[in-house]
Amino acid sequence: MADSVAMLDGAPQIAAAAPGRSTRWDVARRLWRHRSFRFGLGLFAIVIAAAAFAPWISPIEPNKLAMRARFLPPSWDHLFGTDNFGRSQLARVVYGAQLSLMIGTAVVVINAVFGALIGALAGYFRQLDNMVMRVNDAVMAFPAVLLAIGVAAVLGRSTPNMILALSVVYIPRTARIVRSSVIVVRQMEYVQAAVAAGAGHWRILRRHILPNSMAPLMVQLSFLFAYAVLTEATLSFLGLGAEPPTPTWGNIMAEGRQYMREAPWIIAIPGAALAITVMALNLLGDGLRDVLDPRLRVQQ
Amino acid sequence: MSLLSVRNLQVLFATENGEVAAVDDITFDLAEGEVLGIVGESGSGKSVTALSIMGLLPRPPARIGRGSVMFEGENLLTYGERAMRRIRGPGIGMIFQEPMTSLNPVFTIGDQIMETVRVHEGVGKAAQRDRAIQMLARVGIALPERRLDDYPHQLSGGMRQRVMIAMALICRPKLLIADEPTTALDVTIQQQILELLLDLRDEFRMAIMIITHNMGVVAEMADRVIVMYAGKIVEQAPIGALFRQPSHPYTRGLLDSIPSLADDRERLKTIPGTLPNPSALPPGCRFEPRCAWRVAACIASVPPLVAVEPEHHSACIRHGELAAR
Amino acid sequence: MTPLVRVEGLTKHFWVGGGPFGTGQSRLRAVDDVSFAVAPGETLGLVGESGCGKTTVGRMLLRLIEPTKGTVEFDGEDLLRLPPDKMRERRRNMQIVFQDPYGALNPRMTIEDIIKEPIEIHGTLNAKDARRRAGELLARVGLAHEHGRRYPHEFSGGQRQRIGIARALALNPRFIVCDEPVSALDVSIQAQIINLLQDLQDELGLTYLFIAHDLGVVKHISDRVAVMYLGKIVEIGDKRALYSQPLHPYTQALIAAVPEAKPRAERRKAVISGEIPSALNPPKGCRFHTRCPHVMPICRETEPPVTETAGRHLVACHLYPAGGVAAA
Repeated sequence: MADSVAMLDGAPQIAAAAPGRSTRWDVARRLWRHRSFRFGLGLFAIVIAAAAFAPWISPIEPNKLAMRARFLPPSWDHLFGTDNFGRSQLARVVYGAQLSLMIGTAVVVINAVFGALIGALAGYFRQLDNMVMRVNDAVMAFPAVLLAIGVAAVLGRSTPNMILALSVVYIPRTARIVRSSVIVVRQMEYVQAAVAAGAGHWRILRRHILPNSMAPLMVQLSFLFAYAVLTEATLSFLGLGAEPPTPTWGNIMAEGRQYMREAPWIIAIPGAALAITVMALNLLGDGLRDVLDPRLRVQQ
Repeated sequence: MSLLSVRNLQVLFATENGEVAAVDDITFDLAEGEVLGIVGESGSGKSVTALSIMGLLPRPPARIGRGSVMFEGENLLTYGERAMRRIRGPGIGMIFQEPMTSLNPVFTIGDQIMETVRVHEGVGKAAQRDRAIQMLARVGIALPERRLDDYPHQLSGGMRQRVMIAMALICRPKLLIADEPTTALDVTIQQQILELLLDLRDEFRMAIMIITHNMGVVAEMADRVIVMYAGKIVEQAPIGALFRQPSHPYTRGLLDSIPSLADDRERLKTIPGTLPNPSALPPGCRFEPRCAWRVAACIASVPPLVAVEPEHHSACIRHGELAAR
Repeated sequence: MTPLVRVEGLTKHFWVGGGPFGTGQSRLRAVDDVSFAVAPGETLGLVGESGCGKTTVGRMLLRLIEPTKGTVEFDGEDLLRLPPDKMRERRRNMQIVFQDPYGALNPRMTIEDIIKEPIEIHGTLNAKDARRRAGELLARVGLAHEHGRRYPHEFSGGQRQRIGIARALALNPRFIVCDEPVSALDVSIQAQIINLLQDLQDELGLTYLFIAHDLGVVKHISDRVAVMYLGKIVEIGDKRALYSQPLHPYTQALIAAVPEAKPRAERRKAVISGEIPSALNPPKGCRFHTRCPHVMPICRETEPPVTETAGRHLVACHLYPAGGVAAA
């Protein structure tokens, strides 16, 4: 179609470019070509499916006690074995996945909203920057796990409190990443062009700055999901997470710890689930980073 | 015998659309002490030519398709990395467009110049230092003893380019390849650098291959010029002949489209269209789609370089008519 | 004729470096007391080497950078006194074309959305008319209507520059700041864009401030030319007078330094030596005195006043005492 353009003096030709293909489509195609991204996506899909179909995968209630069936090793009847109360490990691990993923998702969503907001405001309105970033630095000065333990201990143990604790810990880190990419984007001449056209702050942020500073946030969020799941397990393991008998991977591992020698599957299976989930998310994040960050892109 | 003799060089690059020839079947010679200008726009293959002579092509994606690069009678394309390293420096020196990224920011300029001397001549530390100071003074850097301990970021763009020249010339190469050496510099600094290069040519009796898009720089520097377009040489001529009688429509178009200080034209002549996509090159002459002189025969086959007059070659089948205008 | 744009004593100082609480910062005098006027329909060229402040001047005219001091009058109205909402409204009349054709277009918007954006902001047309207008603008800059559906990365540098020009035209502005619009382009594409800008000016009666470092390009497109050095205008005058008889030693050196596309018998000698001093600590007196071949004792002490010579040709140099031009 472009080739039929009437040639004015000096009118250019479009050099054999493919017709109107969006960048988004292009990113999806490159992600799909990325082998470890595909592998990570597959693994993560399995974890999500396990959580979503928990009642079908395990008809047995996760908290159903069966004192006669204690400490059974994995077998056809009990695929992942049973624990010290004879509860089905399969049930506990897949129902535990629900809670882990729920907490991970909540933390990611809260971070995406507040981290992006704080980061974008600090990066865009430089008057705010100094103040916001000093507060951020103060929070980030504490090691993540320690701070999460502190916040969880103060708030008391419950799932919403856990989400709150993890969000407090990670929002400054997300905000910092968004801020630095906003600072780069706001210098771009297309932002200047929008200012020159009379665009207001809100329009500039929404149409020009945010869409172009999302790439590092996407990468950060996939890693953040992994950290959130991991930290949640750590807190539950330390007895600061959801109240027993609610199954979470951390809870299960904490309870299984004392029987590690006699019944290693109690701690090993949720541990493996946790490791697989974290690895899947890290692979996803690596893939996103490779595709979205042109500085790190390798020749394919 | 010429110092450098490139024959039928073809350089291929792997891309998403398959292999494309960034440089396609180019042949030229460079004599001792001669200044050869290579002119072209982006994508003409002028920088790729320089990098393949230096053995600095990124491989992959680049690959030599065929051809030879004879330097003092040896084919550099058969050399491995170790052998090439002995050529770079005492044989061929190179300076680049962006002097900031060509210098390592974590070492002082003294370290970087002395390193070159050490690698190639194996003299002692004090001798290295003396050589570096001498060379910096020669390229016009004031107080070279003090500058030696400066880091690249402490110098201005013009100063950094002088340092690059000092590094390239400290082993007295027989050939200096200068890839857009003044493009990043202001005009008043550009003039100083060009003057310096010509003075050093006389003093060291070296040949210079200067790659540029600026016809003015070529006119100032070169004895002979090669004009490249989309990977091909389209015209080759002594400097006087090129400006007196440009014999390829592309060369003419380039000269006509430069707004000059001397003339008072109301309107610039333009070359319509854009550079061809390297993965979808026109079948015959690569300039044909943009050419005002095109005829049916231009699509039929790639026109070869033919002599317009002695030493002056054009790859246009209508060069005779062109000269008549 | 009353000028369309009049700038008086325009100054911009940036504070650079220093600690987190603003301690130990130093003042960078990017633009210092610059005054000029542009008549309707005229092109004023602004030339100078890197770091001379020419880009900052262009941005201050549009209040993309807030001046430290001075006034910017557009059509008799002082822009710097306008409240933000009034200023946004006035932006319809003044636009900008940028140097970097890659950075100037939002990579996540289609060409049509990019061109329509100014129209949407000011609500001058409804959605359907805005689309039609975008198509017309594309055609006017030499692209096709269908190109509107594509994204910036599908275009070459010259084509992107055309898109940037279409965006600048969207609101029918009267004044356009062209900030090095051709310096990132290949020679054969440069001429296409220069011709396009000239055609648009003739057709739409536009007024340009054309900022560039290439003296040939500036000479070709401008009616009058201003030369900047280290944040100051050292000479301003009619194009022909300025190029045929440059008064300021810096202008003379700048013109002499341009390599002409003509082979010459003799090698030229550089007219001025040395490099541009830092704007953090500009030389006292005349800022050019450290490189000037005609330097006199007074140049090191006193800043030269602006002198008007014949035909609105202004120069700031002690060689030309007030009241007449001495033989230089």
